[in-house]
Amino acid sequence: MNASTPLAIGLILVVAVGGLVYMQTRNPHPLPTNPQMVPTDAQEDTTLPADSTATTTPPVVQVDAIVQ
Amino acid sequence: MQSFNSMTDRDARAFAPVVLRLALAALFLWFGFSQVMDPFGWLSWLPAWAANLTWISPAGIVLFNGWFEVILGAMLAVGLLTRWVALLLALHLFVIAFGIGYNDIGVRDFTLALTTLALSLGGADWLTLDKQAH
Repeated sequence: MNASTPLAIGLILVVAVGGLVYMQTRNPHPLPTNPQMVPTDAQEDTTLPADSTATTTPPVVQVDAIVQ
Repeated sequence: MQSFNSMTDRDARAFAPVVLRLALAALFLWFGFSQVMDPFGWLSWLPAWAANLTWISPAGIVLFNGWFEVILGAMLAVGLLTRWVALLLALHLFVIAFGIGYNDIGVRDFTLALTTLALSLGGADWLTLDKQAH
């Protein structure tokens, strides 16, 4: 065995992993995120569901408070 | 039968450091290539202290880190300066593990750092350029 064997094995590994990542990049899916490094002040999702407007009741106005 | 068993054991032992080295090389290559091909996708992993370390932009630091892991991962794959490359990668992974902290991912990275350190301590195996070139 000479130096070409480890060189070939190593290069095959580099090309295989590089190709795998390249294919993944072309067809991406969400990467895992570190919970400790995600900003904790992220806005809460206040979006109402699409059909929520039908059941939403108008706010009650305190007339007495406005008059005073 | 006895000689067959001992022969198998000897052959298996010879491949243990090879499998360890190639597996760790694939690990560093995967993370390195991923950062090189999509640096913005990895920004959430960049700790604040690293982002403020130099004038380089956060994406630039991810890109630099990615190339570092690709080059050293390739050197590990072919077995070039195996002991020193593994030591550098182990120290690199220790920094990452301590940065992530005590959680499931941090514990995993800490163990991978120890595994890479073990590879460095073991040195070049028989299927490396280090051994075959001499």
